[in-house]
Amino acid sequence: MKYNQPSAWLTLLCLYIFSIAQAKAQRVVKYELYVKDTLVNFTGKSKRAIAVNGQIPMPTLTFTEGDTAEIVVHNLLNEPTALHWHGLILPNREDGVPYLTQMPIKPGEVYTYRFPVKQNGTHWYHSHYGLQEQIGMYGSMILNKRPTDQSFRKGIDDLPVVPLILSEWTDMKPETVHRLLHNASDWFAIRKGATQSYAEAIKQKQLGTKLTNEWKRMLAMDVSDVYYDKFLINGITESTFKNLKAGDRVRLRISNGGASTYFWLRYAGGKITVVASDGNDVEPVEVDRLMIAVSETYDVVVTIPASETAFEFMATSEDRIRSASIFLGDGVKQLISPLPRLNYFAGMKMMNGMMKMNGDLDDMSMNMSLNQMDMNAVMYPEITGAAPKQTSTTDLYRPNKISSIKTLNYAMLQAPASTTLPPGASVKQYRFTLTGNMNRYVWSIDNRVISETEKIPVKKGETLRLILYNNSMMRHPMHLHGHDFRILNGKGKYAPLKNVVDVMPMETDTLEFSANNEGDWFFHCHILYHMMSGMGRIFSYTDAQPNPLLPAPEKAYRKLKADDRMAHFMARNDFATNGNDGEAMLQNTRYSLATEWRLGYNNMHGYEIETHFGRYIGKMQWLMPFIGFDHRYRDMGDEGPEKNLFGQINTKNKRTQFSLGMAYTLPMLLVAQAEVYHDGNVRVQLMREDIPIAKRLRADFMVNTDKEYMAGLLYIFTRNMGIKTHYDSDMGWGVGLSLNY
Amino acid sequence: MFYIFLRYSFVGVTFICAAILLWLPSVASAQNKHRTDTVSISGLTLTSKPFIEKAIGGSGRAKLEWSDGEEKAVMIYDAKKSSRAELLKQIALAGFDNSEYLAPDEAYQNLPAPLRYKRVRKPQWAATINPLIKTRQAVKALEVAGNSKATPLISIMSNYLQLKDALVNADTEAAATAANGMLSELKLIKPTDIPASVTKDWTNYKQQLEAVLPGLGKDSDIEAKRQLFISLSPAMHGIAKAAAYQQPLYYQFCPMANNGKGANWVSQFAEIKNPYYGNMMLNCGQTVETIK
Repeated sequence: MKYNQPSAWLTLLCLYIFSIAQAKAQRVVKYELYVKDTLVNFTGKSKRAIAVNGQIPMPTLTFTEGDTAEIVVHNLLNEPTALHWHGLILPNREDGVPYLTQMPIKPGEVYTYRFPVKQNGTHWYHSHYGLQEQIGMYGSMILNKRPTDQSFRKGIDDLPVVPLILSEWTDMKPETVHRLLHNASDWFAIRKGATQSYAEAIKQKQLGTKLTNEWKRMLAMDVSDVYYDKFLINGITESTFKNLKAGDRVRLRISNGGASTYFWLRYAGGKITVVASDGNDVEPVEVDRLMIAVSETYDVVVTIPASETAFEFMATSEDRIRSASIFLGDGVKQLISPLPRLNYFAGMKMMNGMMKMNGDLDDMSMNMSLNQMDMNAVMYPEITGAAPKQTSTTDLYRPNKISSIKTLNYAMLQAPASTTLPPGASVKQYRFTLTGNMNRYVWSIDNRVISETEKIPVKKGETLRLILYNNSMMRHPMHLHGHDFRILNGKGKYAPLKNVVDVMPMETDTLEFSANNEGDWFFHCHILYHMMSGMGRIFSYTDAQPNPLLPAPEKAYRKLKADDRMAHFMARNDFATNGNDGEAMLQNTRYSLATEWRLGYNNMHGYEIETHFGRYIGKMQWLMPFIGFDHRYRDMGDEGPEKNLFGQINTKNKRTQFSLGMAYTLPMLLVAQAEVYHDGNVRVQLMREDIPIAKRLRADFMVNTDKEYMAGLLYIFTRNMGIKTHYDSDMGWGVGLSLNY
Repeated sequence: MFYIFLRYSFVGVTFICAAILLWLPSVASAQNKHRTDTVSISGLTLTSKPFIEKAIGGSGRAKLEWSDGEEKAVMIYDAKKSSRAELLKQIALAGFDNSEYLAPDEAYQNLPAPLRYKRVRKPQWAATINPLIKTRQAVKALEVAGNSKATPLISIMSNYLQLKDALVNADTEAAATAANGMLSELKLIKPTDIPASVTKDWTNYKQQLEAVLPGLGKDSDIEAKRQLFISLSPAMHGIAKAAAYQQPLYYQFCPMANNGKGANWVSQFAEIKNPYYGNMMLNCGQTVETIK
């Protein structure tokens, strides 16, 4: 799977549409998939990945509506796996969610999925086990329409087809990515050039913006969380599809198999005509560009405007760090301009305006929905141009209104036939607020993660209506298993059918679907790291037949819940001239166990270890009551016990104390901490960590009522290493190497 | 003692010689990594050469050797740091078509006027009307194109609307083409083509158009074109009223254009798409008169 560039030019193949379609219905189409560990080299370094049948992405699976799919999975890994058929309406036991619809496929095991193909369209498949999707386990799944189908569209369904699956690659292990996200590491921002430090703010005359931002307790803003080394289309960054001439039209069947990346799709040869989404046909709609959310699929038709020229079709990551391309046609390559970099401070200013002091978002009664208003548009130089002075605030967020660049949104999608649900069914309505805490990377629905909730009971035959409101600062691609839902987008009975809806911050979207497929179905955010943090719910049909694949469903469900209960570990130590100074922390959604130490090199400096175990309270998790244990020793000779600010006497020479206290995050991200020790002493402390002075420079300080104080400066070299200098009232001045895990 | 010294110095010299011999190939290979390629770049002139070198030469990666009048240039680059394709891509992204890549239209349009060149490599392709979508507008446009009865005034009008749309999109090439089209239509007009309602003003209109159109048809930057476009408005307002166009037309006004003095244009859309600012202020303006 070495990054082998355009030499691998692929020719357009599509004859199978005709040949396969002629075959009889009820044909069994069988695929054998061998899942195996592999080494890949995308960046010059060999890294572990998972290949299926020796390739990344996994092979494209093609079926025709009416076939029976038989997919045999040979697990040659040293860990379990399970495959999910994304967007397919199939029996629950074939859905591929480990511990929910089946037990994971054990190492060495051979497992067969078998289900009837009851729909057509562009879908994809991926591992639903752990973080395997990030390292290669994704592939296209194309379900062809029968030519005799009443909905067969001449000029669309008979075009040459190119399946494209988008993805991303990082040299970092996905487990490390997940851990860093939970530890609020800003390493990804440093790699992206998105630190938004005070120095950068001053340079761009945005100091006020930065101060307001920190006043409202926000860290640097970004449109995506992870830094990726490469973006890929069908596993490579660039490829060419030849044998096309002027006037030819091609249907691209695009799936976003990225674990956490949204992509902009643009074409150098003119307009893009969208003809289907998530495997469901829509009335053709012509746009200049579209954003494909994580796990969405779009079918688009593009025209080759001239012969002997290859036209670039580009997928750019939402953060615009880099892109992947295909070229359609032969000869000289017509490029498309790269998207200009995001204007982060404009975005920060916008967030400041929307963020209330209590951490809720305020949409300023703009009633946002269906991606029609894009708050991020303020960061797009190609839309806002040279400072649009005449635009009203509301219009500023409507890219299609202020620019001649037409961007697809959900309000433009219309189903070709009526999609109304069975009349007379009782309607059950749920309101879900998508919630999150960027600083602690907690993602939830109604402030509860999966393990904190029970399955939502569903009666077969009823209509479910979900109203989703996004009160978090990130967008979320919400995906429903086993069903297509209607997005109520103003098209009346022609509301489009989808199985993923991207909900931007502050948007409200309404979905409805008929409960007509028994079983336990996952409804979750498809950003891999959000899902693993617990952003989801499970719809469970009451009175359903027990799933024979789950002999102990309760026990299995506890395993599923373990995903978001997982604790994340971090540790840091400064090896300084005046002593060792460090901390270690183990945290999960609600709890934190943290230890801080200061170890001097001589008896006068002594040592000190403070341990806190606490629970985060409230939606924003600003409050944390804790119990503590404090042990310190030093030999100060004749100097007696000290007095604190409250006049209490306090020996630090040899002291072992339990404590009760609480920490609260104040505006400017200052942490105030009050603690009572079992000898009655009281300590109040104020501190701030990770003040972004410049791109790689961080400052921190602490002061407390024991008349102790500390201030430090850290220069970050690599993810694990920096140089730190600090002054400590006990230990004095020091310089040293700071290492972190 | 001296003898021993000599003997050892001899050994030392042998070592040094051996070291030089071993070192030489590595010098040779160090030189080898510089690759030399013949490339062909459109618009390469003495003026544009530094501009192009700047696009590829970041941190001394590559340079061009070329003398005026030659068709091809020689590109010298460090094969370890970049490749021929990568450098030619950078050149195209800076606005210069070459043997491997064509520049994005925006990149070409952003070139300073003296660096513009004739884009011989770029194939001609009209924005085709997508057969999948039968919007009312597209149908109208087809009718106009296929209407044999289109009067010369209607042809001038539709050329004008294309010119205006090109300015909205900041497309200087399309604007020049439309302006030249207008001018040739204007030359074809016979006195009998002119409706009675405008005979009185016709000489005036014609003079106004002829004064501006040749300039618009020339290769110039978008701002120059937008400035010239202002003076077409009074004549086109009159022609719009007389032309009996197939659909309603809108006389629109932007108070900010022409350095705050304001300027008009005629549009086929009720919605404002400002030709004087394009993207930067697309919706600035209002309809002041509807012409039916």
